[in-house]
Amino acid sequence: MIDWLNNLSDTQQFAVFTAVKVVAVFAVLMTMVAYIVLVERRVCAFIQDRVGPNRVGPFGLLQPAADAIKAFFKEEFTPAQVRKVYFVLAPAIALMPAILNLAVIPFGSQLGRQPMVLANLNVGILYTFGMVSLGVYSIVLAGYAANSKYPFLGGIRSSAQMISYEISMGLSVIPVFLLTGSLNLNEVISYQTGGLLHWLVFKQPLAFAIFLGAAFAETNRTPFDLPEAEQELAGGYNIEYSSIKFALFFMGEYANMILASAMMVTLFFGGWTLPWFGLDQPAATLLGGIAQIAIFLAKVLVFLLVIIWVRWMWPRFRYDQLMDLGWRRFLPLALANIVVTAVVLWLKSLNQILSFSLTPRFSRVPGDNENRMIVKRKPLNFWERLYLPAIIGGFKVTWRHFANTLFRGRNAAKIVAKGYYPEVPWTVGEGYRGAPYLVRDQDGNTKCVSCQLCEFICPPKAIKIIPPGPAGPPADRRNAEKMPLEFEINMLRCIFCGFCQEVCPEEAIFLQKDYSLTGTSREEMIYNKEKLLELGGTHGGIQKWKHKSEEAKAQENFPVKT
Amino acid sequence: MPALPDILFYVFAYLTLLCGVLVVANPFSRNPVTSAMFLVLTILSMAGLFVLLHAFFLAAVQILVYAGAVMVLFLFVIMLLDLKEEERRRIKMFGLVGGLVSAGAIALILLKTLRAAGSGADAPGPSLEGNPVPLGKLLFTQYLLPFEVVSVLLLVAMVGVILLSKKDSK
Repeated sequence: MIDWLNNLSDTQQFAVFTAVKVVAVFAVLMTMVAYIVLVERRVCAFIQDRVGPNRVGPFGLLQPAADAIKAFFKEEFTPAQVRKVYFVLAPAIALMPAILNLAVIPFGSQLGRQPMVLANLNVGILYTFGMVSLGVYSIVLAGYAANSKYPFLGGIRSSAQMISYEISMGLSVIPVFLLTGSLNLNEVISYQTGGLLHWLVFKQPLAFAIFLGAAFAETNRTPFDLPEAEQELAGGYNIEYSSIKFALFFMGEYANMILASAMMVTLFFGGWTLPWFGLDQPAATLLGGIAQIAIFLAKVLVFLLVIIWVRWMWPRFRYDQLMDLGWRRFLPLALANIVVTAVVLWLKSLNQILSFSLTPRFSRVPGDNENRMIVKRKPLNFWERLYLPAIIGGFKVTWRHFANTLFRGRNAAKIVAKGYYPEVPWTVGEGYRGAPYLVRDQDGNTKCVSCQLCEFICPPKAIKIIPPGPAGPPADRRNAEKMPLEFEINMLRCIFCGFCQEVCPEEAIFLQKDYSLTGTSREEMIYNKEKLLELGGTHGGIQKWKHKSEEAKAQENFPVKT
Repeated sequence: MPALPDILFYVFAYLTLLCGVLVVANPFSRNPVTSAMFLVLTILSMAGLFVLLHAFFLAAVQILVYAGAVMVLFLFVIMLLDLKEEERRRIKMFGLVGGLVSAGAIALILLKTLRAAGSGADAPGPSLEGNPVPLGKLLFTQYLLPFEVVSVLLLVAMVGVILLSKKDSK
């Protein structure tokens, strides 16, 4: 094997090693994507006093495999109105920008003689921004392909948002390159060696802050996840997608997150270096090379955790606030930062000694907030306007819940409910609306008279009644004319609204306390008359209107004559 | 067997031409979004040609500015317009003839220029080589005036747009 490698020419060796690196990097990225989804779900659960997915494998470690299998085998549904070509194209290109971008990120110094970067481009950062800017196409095209209102709005929002923040993002890193004097990411890293304070985050904190904010916006993460706002857009650009196509968008989001973290690590946190133990020099030994790759991955992981943490801490911005932040705060700040950095460097190059530090001050942008709102808002005081105390408070609260769940096993779920759901069943509250079932009277007769009011009122059309007709069997109780020949409720459609119970004149159908309905097929989830009657059980005597008229009498102005 | 860069040159060149034709005369679809997407492909394959010339900086900027920003704005505007009318519009004889004549004229000028310019085989190689430093030096020394004029032009366009969009707020 070694002999065979040594016999190859330089070009062939380069090709072989690059191919190996490409495969390795791709495998690591995909594994990280799979597991970061699991991490996100576990962290979110801990913050919210739950346990998260812990069933598949030890600690839920096989959950990503289960998710992947589920995504592949789910029914893939293509709505009739979609534009077919774009509908397929959009998820196909969702992962591409992130994967292409990995090519220029240095993820280690060297292993043996092989540099741990796929392509050491002189214009590395420009290439990165170019690829990031292509990322918007998948979302915009998904919105367009769906050919319906909400996905379209999601796509439009996304294109406006990504263009806006791309500008701030691009401008925010210019001071970094003014300092390092190169667009090559390897040289950016070597500039940051020689001490912790050489990391660019300490030299350009403002640039880092803007880059961090813009990175959140570019990856569509909270607090900037407007393109897939569940509340207003019913899910955003990916509503019409199902199965593996939906999963591709999902993977795209996480791959972009990993890439954004890798960029922040490379640009501001020294990349694969650590300022101690000589780890900031290219590794001479194999072990050192592996250690540096581990350092890089660890730093990326820290940023991923921060991004996840922020999602479960903050609500999202309003759209106008998003645009305001991007154009009127980030952009001027980034421009000012460039000018200041350039001036400082120029003065330094004139060999003038600077005894004062030039850091741009936050200036309040004059707004017309006072007259825009009908409701007068209390003006924020200084601390509130700084946002920092609120941010730190948010971190504290979420961290407390996270730590209590993870390390002490003590949280609201344990204290109030004495355990988690499947082991400790949930106590159903009074008036809970569970599954609707048919009931029998005290003699065991069917109460339903097949009037079909519930079928008519049912908002999701989950109820189907076949009346007996003139030749059908008569009712099994004396004081009724007929009973349904067949009565079906599709529990996949039922929304447990209770309209059927409200509308039933015979008190024959009730929302009961069942909340976990399961089945292995669609047919199984359509409950027929026998099943509904069996599950419903017996209900008290035939009262028919009696207490309804009592209720009416209690309301004095209700015109009922009795 | 031809070398890999040569093969790639033909791939990108044909892709550029093919996509360019499909932007303006797509026999399968009259959808403006499709045209815009083919324009994106044209730009990307042109970036590929720049890479083959070792002009990495130009390639990256081409993708960043045209494919990443300008075309996204194009798409944004196209999607906000009513597309149905555009799809129904027929190709007019006058437009067809006019377009062919102007395309032919440009091709003629290009051909004449190319023949006058010689093969360029013994011309000095490109000095850009991906590093943006010499490019920046050139822009800020030898070509300073055109550079500044272009930036003023962009500024004028920007101010004009703001003026137009603010017009009815009085």
